[in-house]
Amino acid sequence: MKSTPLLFAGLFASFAVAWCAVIAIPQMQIGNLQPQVDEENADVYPVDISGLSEQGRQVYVAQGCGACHTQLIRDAHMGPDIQREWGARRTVARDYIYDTPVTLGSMRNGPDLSNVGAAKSEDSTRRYINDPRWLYLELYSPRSHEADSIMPPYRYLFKKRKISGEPSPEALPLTGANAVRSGYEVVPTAKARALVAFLLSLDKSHPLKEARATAPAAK
Amino acid sequence: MSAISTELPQNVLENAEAVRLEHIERVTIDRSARAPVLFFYASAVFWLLVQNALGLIASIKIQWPEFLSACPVLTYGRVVAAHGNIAVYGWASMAGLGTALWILARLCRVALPRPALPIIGGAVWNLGVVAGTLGILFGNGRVLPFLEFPKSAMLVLFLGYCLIAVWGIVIFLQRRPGEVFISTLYLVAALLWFPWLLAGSNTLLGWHGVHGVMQAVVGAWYAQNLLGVWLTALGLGTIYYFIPKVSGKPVYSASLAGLGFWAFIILSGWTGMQRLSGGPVPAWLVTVSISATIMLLIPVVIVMVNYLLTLRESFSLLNHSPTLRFAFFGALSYFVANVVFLIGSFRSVGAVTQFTWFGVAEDQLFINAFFSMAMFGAMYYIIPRLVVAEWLSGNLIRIHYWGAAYGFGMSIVMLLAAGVAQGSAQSVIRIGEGANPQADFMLSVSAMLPLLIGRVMAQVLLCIGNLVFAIHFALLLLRLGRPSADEPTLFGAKS
Repeated sequence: MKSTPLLFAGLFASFAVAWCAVIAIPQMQIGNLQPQVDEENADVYPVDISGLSEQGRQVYVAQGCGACHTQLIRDAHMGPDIQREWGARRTVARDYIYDTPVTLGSMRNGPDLSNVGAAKSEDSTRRYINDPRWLYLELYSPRSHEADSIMPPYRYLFKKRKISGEPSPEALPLTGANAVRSGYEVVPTAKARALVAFLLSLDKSHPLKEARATAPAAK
Repeated sequence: MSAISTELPQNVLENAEAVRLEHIERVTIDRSARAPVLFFYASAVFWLLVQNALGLIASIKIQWPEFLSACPVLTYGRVVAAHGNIAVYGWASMAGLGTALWILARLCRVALPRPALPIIGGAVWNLGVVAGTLGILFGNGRVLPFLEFPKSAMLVLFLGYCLIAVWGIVIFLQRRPGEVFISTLYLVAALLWFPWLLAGSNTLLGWHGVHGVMQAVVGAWYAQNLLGVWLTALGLGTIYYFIPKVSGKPVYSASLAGLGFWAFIILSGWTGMQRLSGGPVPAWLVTVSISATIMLLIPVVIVMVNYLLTLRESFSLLNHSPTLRFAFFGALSYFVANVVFLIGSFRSVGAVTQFTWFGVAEDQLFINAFFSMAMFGAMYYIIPRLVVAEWLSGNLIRIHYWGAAYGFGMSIVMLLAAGVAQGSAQSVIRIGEGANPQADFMLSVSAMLPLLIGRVMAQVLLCIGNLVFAIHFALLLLRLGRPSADEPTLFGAKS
């Protein structure tokens, strides 16, 4: 290899061809998907989240939640996600068109969060429940739900304050080692509120033409 | 009789003159490279220790979530992200750039034209790493692996990179006529590939070029190219330099090496989508990457065969030469890394190992067991030539070697085992009366935790080894080495 132009051209061509195959063609295929609109009742999915939930997405990213949690359901033959009752169908590209940034995640030290906000049973043994107060307590003290949880406590997303007048309806029901002195309460900060709003907005259970449910929805 | 007696001294004289000129040339090159390369190495070693410390903190947090939990700056997700990014941009890239500049200067026989400019580039690059780290720790981080640095920090890195790498290319273009060594090809390829990768991917991601899942596609492609091309090409180029250099034998087959190089360059860009296997991407995309990874075994084997055959008569040197032993450990790890990566690529395996510590082990195999070890080897060779003094003690080098070899090795074995344990536990779904698949998730946590304790111990070993290395290096920088007229510092007594 004595010819410098030939070397540079070869390198560039290798890079460019791979780039076209792996980035440009998929971009044409799934880069500009639109929401699915139902003809009969104008049911649109997915919808963009905004306001508090959108701020919560930034909190989710900033706290590094994605280091341990995924937000994708694999098809039944690619992994046991559906049997695990994390979702009734696999997730597909259309589910994520408004996710900026997309938080698919790459580790499951904790459970998948694709459908935290989807309606779930009242059964309190479930790992997460469509209930802000459960989620607040989970963030403040994960071990009050699961004794062996390895999730770090996010107490700094909450504040302890003196109760003035009526106790806040958002105050955490803390007991045992977490209990606070009487006359005080622990309430979520704006960040915790946003994060929980975001978690509750996570719902990829809506039927899509390209991804039918392969198992009965979690009961 | 008399004819011979007059000829011999003549030859010796000519040879002596050639040796002297070559020596002067090397000294000139080393002098030109001294300040920038030592600056890069010092920065790299500093970041190496920082990332070791962060890795240890993260590992402790997994076992004991309350550890430092009151400190938002050091929450688990941020520490992990900072650890991974500093490992690649702080330690590996700085070490790789320093090594690449020095090897290119030596092989092209060109002194670094303006040593001050790469130093400025290195300072800018360090600034980028600092900004990125602070960005992550104070809540400005992003979400894709190895792209957690805020985009502004990536811009700073890019500027710093251009100021550094352009000199590598300048040296290459000014090279003395003659053979272009295989090592040079790999290093130049790395230097040219990385800016496109960094700029292209970050432009698409940071400035809203792609939406939704395509961000993850770009991210996966970036991460794979970062480890599989940028670091790999730097590492292979370095090993291709030092194995022949230390053993005193030319590369066994130059044509085989060229074939391996082009196969590597053509195929590598197609790999990486396995990271999204089963995810919300077209299935063909993952299949393409799996196929490319299988074919990539060809250049991997070519490189390994070439290394081994070059060394075929010199394996005993591994007992003495620190450079060769580190580099050879790196070369073997390169092979293992690719095989493990290939195994993890298959969908049937991925169904278990995806989203587990197995993936962390794959990355660590490339970054640490392969690349870091190759860089340590290079540093043990290059630094004495730059400071014109020998390493103080073969025993300190030995402590570093065993700390790093056991540390990386055990850490990776534990991660692989933890990944398999975690993934297997997650694949088993109990059904029937009273079964609660969501609650059973905790079984995977209890399966992985004991193995990850092993990783903590490995990380402690690593910290010790690397700290010894850092102190040894600092002593050399403070001119406390042995005089360079002595023999190079080797393992044990050379017979």
